[in-house]
Amino acid sequence: MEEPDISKMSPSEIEELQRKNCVFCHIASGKVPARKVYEDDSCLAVLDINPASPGHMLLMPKEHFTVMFQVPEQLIGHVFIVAKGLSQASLQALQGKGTTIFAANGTAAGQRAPHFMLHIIPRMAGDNIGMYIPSRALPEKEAAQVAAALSAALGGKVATAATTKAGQKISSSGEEEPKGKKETVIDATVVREEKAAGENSTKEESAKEEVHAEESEDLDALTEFLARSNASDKGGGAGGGKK
Amino acid sequence: MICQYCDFVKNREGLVYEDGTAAILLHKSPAMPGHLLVLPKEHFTIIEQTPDPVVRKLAALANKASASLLQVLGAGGTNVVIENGTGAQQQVPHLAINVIPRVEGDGINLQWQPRKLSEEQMSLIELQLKEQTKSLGVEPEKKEPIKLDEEKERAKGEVVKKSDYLTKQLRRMP
Repeated sequence: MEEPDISKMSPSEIEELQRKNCVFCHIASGKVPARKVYEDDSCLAVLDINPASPGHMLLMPKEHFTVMFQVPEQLIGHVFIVAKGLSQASLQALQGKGTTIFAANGTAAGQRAPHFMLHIIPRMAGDNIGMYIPSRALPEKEAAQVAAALSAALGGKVATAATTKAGQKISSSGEEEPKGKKETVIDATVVREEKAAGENSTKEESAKEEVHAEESEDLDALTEFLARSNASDKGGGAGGGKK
Repeated sequence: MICQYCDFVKNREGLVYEDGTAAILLHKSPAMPGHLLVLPKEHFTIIEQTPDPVVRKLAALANKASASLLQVLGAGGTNVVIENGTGAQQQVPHLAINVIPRVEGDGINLQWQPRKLSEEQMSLIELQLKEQTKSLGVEPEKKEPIKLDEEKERAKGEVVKKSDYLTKQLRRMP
């Protein structure tokens, strides 16, 4: 078998190759048999052949997406509503005491197959499956910085309330002149570009600003950003826009 | 009733995002710095109790949270986890989607021990689950077409009535 040279391929070609080699795409199209427990137009749930517990289901969109945050808003909403139904189904069918609903995005998070899926794992008390989410103490200063940066990026309606609080704590490093309430409304696109260019300096600045961002537009841009960086990682920096 | 997450949202403790239906909190004792909780503002204990539009909203926000963690904190990936019910180690009785930033070699292990079940066991479970999921994807919409059909039926019925005028008369006879 000949190995295609990935470094010479465009991002779209790489995607095509991934799709062709994706076992879960083959399951979705019926080429590979699986124990299907649910199917509709856009998604599919099968039993995991090596389950964490009896009834461990894999719920996935039929279309190929590598990670969850690439899935469009409409579809991910649908997937989670189906997950709710499957969770309920497993509670009723298997008399469980709960379900763990789990997704891994990226190999750093333990993802193995490059096709986004939600694991729905029926749980019993004392089933020894593990999956404990560890916890650690987070220093207040670090927490405030993280909160400020994230609330700026998330651009919620009331981000300012959280950020001003945090902003006071980190203001020791880089003072901003206006003490009076000079509300500057930055266009979301500007913030994004600034972030992409020089991260550190803009983080604190943008944290202090009220960012009015159209939610979906923001998400689209981020997804696009990620897709681009993904592609260039795999393609060894091959030129982006070759279609 | 006392609910920790309801209190956090009310007191804006660790609040990083808020809209009409949902909020995102920074976890107090996180798995990693930037560990977020996406949750409904209204109190629902488990996902099964949460209305579909709210679930939809939470899913979209979980994606947004993931994207922000990658962009802002430079995470290499994220885990999205719902501990749904006491059997799943749910600590606070308020539905929340954990979005955990991950980097290579961070020492967090959320993997499980894979098992092997017999073919018979798998088949039985498949049947049991299918029985329950049968009714899942059926959306009780499509009111308009049904109405039209009904009207057609009714119209048909009337035609039939007219043409059956004679038989009707016959039926009426003792």
